[in-house]
Order: sequence, then C-alpha cells, then structure tokens
Amino acid sequence: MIGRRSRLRAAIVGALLVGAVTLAAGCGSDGDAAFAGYERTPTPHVGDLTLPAVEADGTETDLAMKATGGKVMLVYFGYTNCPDICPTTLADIRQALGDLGDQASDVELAMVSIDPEVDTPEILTGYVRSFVPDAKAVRTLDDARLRAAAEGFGADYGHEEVDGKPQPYHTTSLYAVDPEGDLVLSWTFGTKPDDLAADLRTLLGRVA
Amino acid sequence: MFTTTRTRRLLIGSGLALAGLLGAACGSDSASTSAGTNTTEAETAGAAADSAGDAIAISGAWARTSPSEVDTGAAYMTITGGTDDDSLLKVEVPSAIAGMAQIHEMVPAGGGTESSMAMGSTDSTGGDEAMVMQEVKGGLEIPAGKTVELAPGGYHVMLMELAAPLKEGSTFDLTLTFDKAGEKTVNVEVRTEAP
Repeated sequence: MIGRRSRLRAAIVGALLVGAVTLAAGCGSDGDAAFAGYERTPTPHVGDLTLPAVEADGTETDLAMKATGGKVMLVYFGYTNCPDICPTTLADIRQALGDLGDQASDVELAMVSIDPEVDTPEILTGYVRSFVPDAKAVRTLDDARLRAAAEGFGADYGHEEVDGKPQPYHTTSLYAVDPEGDLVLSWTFGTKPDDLAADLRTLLGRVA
Repeated sequence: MFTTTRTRRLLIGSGLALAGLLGAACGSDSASTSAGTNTTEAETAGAAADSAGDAIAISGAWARTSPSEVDTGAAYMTITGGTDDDSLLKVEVPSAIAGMAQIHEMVPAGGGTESSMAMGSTDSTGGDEAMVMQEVKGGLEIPAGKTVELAPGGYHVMLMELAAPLKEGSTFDLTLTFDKAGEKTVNVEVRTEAP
C-alpha cells in the first residue's frame, strides 16, 4: 500500500514536470524554434559512441551514434518483449515517417536493445523491421559498452524484481542525432506522430 | 484506503489543473495517441444514452498488431463506471488467441520510492523517467460515473503466450469480470495504429 501510494505521488510529480516542460517549450505551436520535443542545454554529443548493429545471422558492424546515411538518426532504447511502450513508440515513428513522405529517406532509425540476452539478432532485427523496414538493430552483450552509450544519451535501463521476476525497465524517450553526432532533440513517450513529423521536418530543414 | 483515495483525488486535481493550463497555453488539439491514464468525470448524458444508464460501459476496445518475433501483446479500452463503485478483477482471453491476460500498468522504476521521485525532479533529460511494467493487484478500481482509460503508457490488458501474431483487421473477445457488474464480454479490434 505504501509503495502504491508513493508511486501515485511520483506519478503526480511526473505529470506536473512533463506539464512544466511542455509549457516551457511553448507547446511547439508558434515561433520557428519551437519543438514538441525537448532540446537539452548543453547539447549532448554522442557521435563518438559506437555500438554493434546486427543482422539476423549475427554479423555485426560498428555503428556510430550519428546520422550517416541521412540527416537525422532516431535512437530508441527498448526491448522486444515489451507489449505497450515500445510498440507504441515504434508505431508512432512509422506513422510520422509515413507523414514525411520522400523526406523519410533522410531519417534513420536505430533500436538499441536493453534486454540483449533475450533479444537475439534474429528476434531484434525482425522485430524493429516489422515497424520500419530499413531500421538498424543494435545489440551488444558487453554491458559496460551498452551502459556507457546509454549514459551518453541520458538513458537508463536495467531489470528490477516485479512479483518475483526480473522485469526490464527503461527510460522511454526517443532521441534525434544529427550528422555531427549531436543529440539535438528528445521526445518523451506519448508525443503525437503529427508532432514528431513536424519536428523532423524542422530538423531536416536545418541540415543542408 | 483513505490515503489512497486522497492521493487519487490529488492526482485528478493536478491532472485537471494541468489540462487547464495546457489548454489555455496551447489551444489544445485532441491527441491521436493518448498517453497515460486518466480518471475523469464521465459525461453523464453520454453514458445515459447507452441504454441502461447505470450499467458499467466498455467502449473502443482495440489491440495493437504484434510482430511475429514476440508472443506478447496489449489491448486497450475505455471503461465507464455505473452507479456503484466497482472494480475490474480479471480479464480472460480465449486460448485460441493467447495463453493468459492480465491487467498491467506502467509505473516509475525503482518502486516509486522517494529517491525515484528525486531523480524525476532532476529535469536534465526533459522529464525522461525509467518505467517498468507491473500487474495491477487486487482489481482495477472503476469508480461510479467515472471513466477509466486503458491506453498506451498507462493501464493495459497484457496478452501473454499469443497463439499467433495479432493481425490487422482481425477481432477477438475478452471476458472482463467485475466485482459487482459480473462478467462482460468485449470485442477487440486489432489495429496497426491507435483509433
């Protein structure tokens, strides 16, 4: 009962914080610098971090955390055995990319597994590509390397005991990285696909 | 129990205040993907139009398509309470669809302790808080006349051991057992995007 009460209280604080941030960001409605997403100051630089991108057969290629093939790389830390948050976010990304039309080819997506023991290369590649066909599947069993990369993004993950079983937890934001490797924008869970698409258009317009 | 009710009232209060602020600041356009969980006043007129008027009402049930690589899924719906406070005790799914269904919620990781609140208040990442999924124990409260949303990021019916991937356009039934209203069957539409 105590835990539940504190959780409710944490939820209140969380809701108010999200509200405050949204208000501070001006709701992405007017002004050319307005984003639905969040711009951190100073802008974190993640481009020097690399993680292995895997194919279904297990082959690995080091992937730098910056847009290479296009102008923006979306990075998401999640896991496949996640029925609510991850598929919602990935479906919202798919919808936003659909809204972008031809411009979508300038946006890459990399999903980083925070549950790599369960997310084999075959499962992870199939899963993320069922949402976005050319997405990168990023996976390493070297936890120190994964942890270092996550910290660069300000992401957190792990497992905690829920009802006697280890349950993965993770921060739920989606990150946008530019060709310089700067983490230019992050979106909290629940950002509408329309807002995601509008922010991506603005970001793409900034990169020549 | 008193404290729980009090906290919930606080939550509703802050949610409404926030909604007001956002509405004023942004000229709200309605969300296509609604995040989180809300308990709000039901529109009595709308609920009354739904035949009985005082019965529990379930609407908008949908489940997201599931990739073939996984055997879990989630279903969402809107439940409006009747004249009495009630609670959703369990959800059952036909074995042809999935092995088990449970009511789950997303909560801040770390057990929602004071320390996780403190972490949440450091705002360096734009309100990015680690979340973990847990089963709702002891039933999901459906207060009289209130609407409880099962929506992405909040409460959901977790489907485990899916017999086959959930395909767009298919439908299946869930049986919801309420403490007072008894069993209700709801037809769930499988969709790629939120309705």
